[in-house]
Amino acid sequence: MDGGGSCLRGKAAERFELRVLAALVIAVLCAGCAGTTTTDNDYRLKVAHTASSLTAVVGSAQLAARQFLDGRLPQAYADYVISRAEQDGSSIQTAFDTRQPPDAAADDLRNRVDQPLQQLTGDLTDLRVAVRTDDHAAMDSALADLAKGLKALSTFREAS
Amino acid sequence: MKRILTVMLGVMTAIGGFVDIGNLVTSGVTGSRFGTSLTWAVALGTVAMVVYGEMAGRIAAVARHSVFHIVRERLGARLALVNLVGSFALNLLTVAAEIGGVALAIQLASGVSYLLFVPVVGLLAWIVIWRAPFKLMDNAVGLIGLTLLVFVSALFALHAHWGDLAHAAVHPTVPPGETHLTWWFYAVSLYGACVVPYQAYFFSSGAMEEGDDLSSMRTSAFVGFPLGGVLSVAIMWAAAVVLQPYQISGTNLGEVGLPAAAAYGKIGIALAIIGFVAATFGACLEAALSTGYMIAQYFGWPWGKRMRPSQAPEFHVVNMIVLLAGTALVLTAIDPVQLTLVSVVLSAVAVPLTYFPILVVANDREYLGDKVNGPVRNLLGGLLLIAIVAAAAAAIPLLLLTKAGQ
Repeated sequence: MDGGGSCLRGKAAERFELRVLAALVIAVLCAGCAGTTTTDNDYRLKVAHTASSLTAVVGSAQLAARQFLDGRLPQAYADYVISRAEQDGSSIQTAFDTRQPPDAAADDLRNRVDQPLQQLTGDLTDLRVAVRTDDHAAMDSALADLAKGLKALSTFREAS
Repeated sequence: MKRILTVMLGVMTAIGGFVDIGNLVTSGVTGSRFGTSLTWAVALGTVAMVVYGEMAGRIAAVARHSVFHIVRERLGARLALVNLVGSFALNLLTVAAEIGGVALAIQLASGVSYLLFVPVVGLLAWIVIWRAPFKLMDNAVGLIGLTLLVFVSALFALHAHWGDLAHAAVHPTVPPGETHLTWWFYAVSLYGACVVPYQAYFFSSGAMEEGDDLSSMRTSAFVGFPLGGVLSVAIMWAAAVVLQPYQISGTNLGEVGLPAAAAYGKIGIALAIIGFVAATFGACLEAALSTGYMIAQYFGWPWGKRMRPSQAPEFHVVNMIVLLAGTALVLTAIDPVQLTLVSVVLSAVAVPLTYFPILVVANDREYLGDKVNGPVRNLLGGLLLIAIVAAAAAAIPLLLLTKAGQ
C-alpha cells in the first residue's frame, strides 16, 4: 500500500515539475511579446520608448560612420554596424506601426511621430548605401539628415 | 619558470571562459546604458567566482572529485538530474551563442554573413576538442585573447575622466530614462555572466585531467577570475566613455568594439576582433567540454579529453552532439546576442544547485582533511550563496517584467 502511495506521490510530483517547467517556458516565450496599449498615457510611454530606441540605433550608425570617415574603422565593420542599425530601426518602426492608438489624441500623436520615424529609417538606408559605395559626400549628407531627424524626434522622447 | 606557467594557467582561465560572449555583450550593454553604475555586479560576480572556483579547485586537487560528481552525491540522483537537465539546456544555448559570437566576430572583419562561418566554427571546435592537446588548446586561446587588454589601454588613450567613472561606480544610481527594474535585470545578467555553471565544471574537471596541484588551482582562481573581471569592467567603462554619450544601447558585438576604434583606429579594432574570436571560441570549447564532463560524471561513464574515443565513447559523443545541436540552433538565424542575454539570466537559476554542494563538500573533512574551509571562507561563501539565490529568484520575474531588458 505504502509503496503504491509513494509511487502515486512520485508521479504527482513529476506532473507538478512538468507543469512548472511548461509554465516557465511559456513565461519566457511571452517575455518577447508586445503588450497591448489601452490608455492614452500608455501610448505616450510607447512613443517615448520608441523614440529612445531609435535614438540609440541612430547613435550607433552615426558613430560608426564618423569613425569610418576618419579612417578609424574598416569598411566591413562600419557596414555591419550601420546595416544592423538599419534593420533595428526598421523593426522599431514596424513594431510601432502595429500598435493601435486608443483614441483620437493618440492617433494624432501617431501621425506626428511617424514622419521623423520614417525619415530616420530612410536616412539609415542612405547611410548604409553610401558606406558600401564608399561615397563620402553622401555619407556627410546622410549624417546631417540623421542629426536633423534626431532633433525632431527628441521632443517625443521627453514625453515619458 | 613553473611560477610563470602557473600564472599563465590563470590567464587561460580568464579568457577561455570568464570572458565569453555573455560577458562581452552584457558589459557593453550596461556600460552604454548605465555607465559604470553596475560595476559592483561584476565585482560581486568575480569575487563569487574566485571563492567558489578556489573551493572547486581545492576539492579537485585534494579529494580528486569533480564538481558534478559531488553535485550528484550531495543532492541525490533526482535533484542532480534536474540540475543536469537545466545545465545541459544552458550549455547548449551557450555553445550556440559562442559559435554565433565567433562567426559574428569574423563577419566584422570580413563583411561576409556570419551564417556562412557557423558550420566552419562548429567543425573547427569539434576538431580542436577531438585532436588538440589540452594545454595547447587552453594556452593558445588564453594568449590570443589577451588582445582584449586593448579595452584597458583604450581607457587611458581616451583620457577617461577616472574620477567621474569611479564616483559613479561606487555611488551606483539608476540613470535618468532607465527604470529600476531594467537596472536590476542587467545587474542579475552581469552577475549571471560571471558565475555561469559551466565554468565550475570545466575548471575542476580540466584541472583533474591535467593533474594540477592545490597551488596551481589557487593561482588559477586568484589570477584568472580577477583578470576576467578587470577585462569585463574595462569593456563596460570603455562603453560608458564612448557609447553612452551617443545613447547607444550596445546590444551587438559590433557596437562593443567601437571604443577600441575610437582609441586606436584600425589597429584597435583588429585587436578587439581577435580578442572576441579567442574569447568566444575558448568559451565554446569550454561549454562543449563541460557538457561532456557533467553528463559522463552523472552517469558514471569514463570521461576526459585525454582519453581516446574508444576509451570514453559516451563523453566524446556528448561533446559532438552538443556542438552539432549548437551549430544547428545558430543556423536557424536566431540572434546569438539575444540568445546570450536570455541564457545568462536563466543560468542564474541553475547556479545555486551547482554552488551549494561545493560549499558543503568544502567543509567535509572526510574529503579534504585539514584543507576544509576556514571561518572567513565560509562567511564569504555563505553570503555569496545568498546573493546567488537572490539573483536566481529574481532572474525570471525580471526577465518577464522588463521584456528581457528593453
